[in-house]
Formats: sequence, structure tokens, C-alpha cells
Amino acid sequence: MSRAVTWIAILSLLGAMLLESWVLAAPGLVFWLAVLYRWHRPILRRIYRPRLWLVSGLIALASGMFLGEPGTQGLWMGLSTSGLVAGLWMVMRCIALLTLASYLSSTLARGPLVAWLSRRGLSGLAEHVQVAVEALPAMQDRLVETWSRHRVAHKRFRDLPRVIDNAYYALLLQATAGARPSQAGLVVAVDGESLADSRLAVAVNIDPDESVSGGQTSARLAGKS
Amino acid sequence: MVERAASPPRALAAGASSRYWSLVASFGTLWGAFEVTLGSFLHALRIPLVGVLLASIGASLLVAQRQICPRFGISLATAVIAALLKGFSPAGAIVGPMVAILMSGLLAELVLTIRPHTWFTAWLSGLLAVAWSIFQPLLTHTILYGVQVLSLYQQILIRLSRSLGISTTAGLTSIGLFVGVCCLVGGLASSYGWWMGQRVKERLAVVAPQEDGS
Repeated sequence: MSRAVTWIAILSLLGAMLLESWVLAAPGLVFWLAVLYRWHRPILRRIYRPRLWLVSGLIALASGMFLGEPGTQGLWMGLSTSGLVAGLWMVMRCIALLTLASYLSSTLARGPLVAWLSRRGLSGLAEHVQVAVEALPAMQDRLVETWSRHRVAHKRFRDLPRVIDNAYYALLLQATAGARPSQAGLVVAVDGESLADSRLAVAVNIDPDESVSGGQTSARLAGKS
Repeated sequence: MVERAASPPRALAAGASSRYWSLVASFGTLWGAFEVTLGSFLHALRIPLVGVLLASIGASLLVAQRQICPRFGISLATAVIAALLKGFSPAGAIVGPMVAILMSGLLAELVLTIRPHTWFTAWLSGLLAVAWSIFQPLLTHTILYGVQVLSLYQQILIRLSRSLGISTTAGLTSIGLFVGVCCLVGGLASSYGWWMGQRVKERLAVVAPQEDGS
């Protein structure tokens, strides 16, 4: 029942928006919002944002001021009725599109999308998203720590390009060299513990203090140093 | 009955696939860390043009990664992971940046698939990523509020030019110049990523044989 009514609401709203008819679109939007309120209330959170209403209000007002012929007397002085109508139409369209997109993404993301990804051999993506999420805090620490280490080594402001060079090079080297499959078939580099210490760099024979400006001839290999 | 070992090509393919996903996760996390740490910090300070800076860093990382592993789909998959990590940003209001990250990945993927190792495609992917970050609000507004919003912005620009005492053409030229400079910054950043990626690739080529020998 709820599914059928939801789809009737979606189709009628889409039809009214395509016809660009106020008379049909306004009740269509009210019906759609009522359906969301009754059966899919979390979707409505998408439009409970002050910033969205502020921007929409400004767009409606600016349309009244800048589009069409402005009125010359009373409350409408400086504002155009046709401009305001165009602005309200834009706001309605925005609310309709935001809620429709939110509803469709929440229903599609559950089953069909995951199945589609799996069919195309992208099931590894979900697994590695999990790994990346777990490794993010360690990577953030690594980012700050790498920058600090190179910044301390070159304190003068004119050395800033060299600091950026070396820190960026070190990060890229660590991200690449560390990205090796472990026994478990997952990723060593983004295993939080491995990233946070220097074992990874030693394991792949790369000195974590190696700099790009030193070039390869002067690069020390951790295994040899 | 003799047990058959896994055929070498199949084992190699499995290893390559694992390496691929490892690089995706590793670079995705690095990009996500930049976005969450640097991005949130600069957004909190209300520094202008943070989007341009972050788009440049993202493009630079994607280009560097493509020099190391020039495989189809790697830039887009990395962007997906970085965008999802951006969801953990403490700054809030994340849908816009997430879309920007995904689009940077998609644009880099389209450009770098053609010629992953040339400087020009690297430069172009940075330029496109920054151009997208500048025009994204305009495109989002056009999708959400309709084409009419463009005439509204045009009218605002005309009125603004008049009140500043300059012609509309001059106003448009200054906007064009500003966008051009920003895109140039993006191109430079991704060229830098290209150069760095080449250095890392060369460096790892030196390390790998020593590891094999040990």
C-alpha cells in the first residue's frame, strides 16, 4: 500500500514538474511531502537545514528584485510579481528534487546497487572502504607527523618548498610502498598499527627520512643503514 | 590423484588485483586524511578558495598514483574511498565536497585513461578538477533551481557591474581571469603530482630488485 502510494506521488510530482504547471505542481509537492511524512520521515531530514532555506529564500527574493518588471507602489515596490513567482517555482523544484533524490538513493543503495557492483567485480571496494575507515586516524597522525618532522629539519621560511617536497614525497612513498597485500589478503599499508610506526618502511627497505631532494644516489636504504 | 597447484597466471592476476585494491585504499585514505585534516581546519578558519586548494591536492595525488599504477578505474575507485572518508569530517555539510571529490576522480579517470604517463594529461586533470570545484555550486544550483537561476545570476552580475562603474564585459573578463588563474594552479599542482609520481616510481624500481634478491 505505502509503496504504491509512494510511487503514485513520485510520478504525479514528476509529471507536474515536467509540465511546469503551478496548479498541478503545488498540490503534487504537498501530496509527496505528506507521503514522506507518513511513511518515510527520515527523508524529510534532508530539507530540515537552515542553510538550504536561507539560500532558497535569498534566491526567491533576488528573483523578485532582478527578474521581470518591478512594481511601483505599496508592498510590491521594487519587487516583480513574475520574478517572485519564478523564484518560488525554483524553490519548489529544489525541494522536490532533493527529496526525490534522497528517497531514490536510499532505496536503490540497499539491494540493487550492491548487486550491480558485485556483478562488475567491485565487491572489493566495500571491503577496502572498511579498511580505509579503520586506517584514517592513523593516516591523519602520519600526515601531521611527516609534516612536523620535515618542518623541524628546515626551520627557515625560504626552505618551505623543500619541506613540502620532502614531506609529500615521503607520504607518497609510504602510501605506495606500504600498499602491499598481507597474508590475509588485505592491505598492510592501511593497517593502523603498521602505518603509525616505522616497521612498514623497514619492511619495504625504505628509510622514512629519505628526501626527494637528496636524489636516489644519496638515499639511504633502511636495510643497509 | 594429483593435487593441482594454482596456475601462475591466475596467481599473478590475483596478486595484481590485490595490489590494485591496496593502492586504492592507501591513496584513498591519504586523500581522505588531507580532506578531513587540512580541509576541516581551513574551512573552520573560513579561508577563501579552500575548495581550489583541496581539489589541487586531490588531483595531484590521483596523478601521482596513476604514474605508479596506470590501471583503468583506479582514480575513480580512490575518489570513492576518499569521498566516503570525507563523510567522517567534523566540519559537517559534506555533500558538496563529497560530490567534488567524486567528480575530480571521474574527470581524472577520463583524462588519464587516454594517456596516463604524459605531462599534458596530468596537467589537464588538475585543471579540470579545479574548474569543477569552481563551477560546482553554479551547476548544483542549475540542477536544483532550474535554468532560470542562470538568468538571475546574470542580472545580478549586470547590476553589480553597474554599481561598481565597470562594463559587464569587464566584469566577465575579471571573472574569467580569476577562474583561469585558479585552473592554472590546479594544473601546476597535478604536474607536481606527475613529477613526484615519477620519482616514487623510479625509487621503488630501485628497491624492488633488492627486495627480491634478499
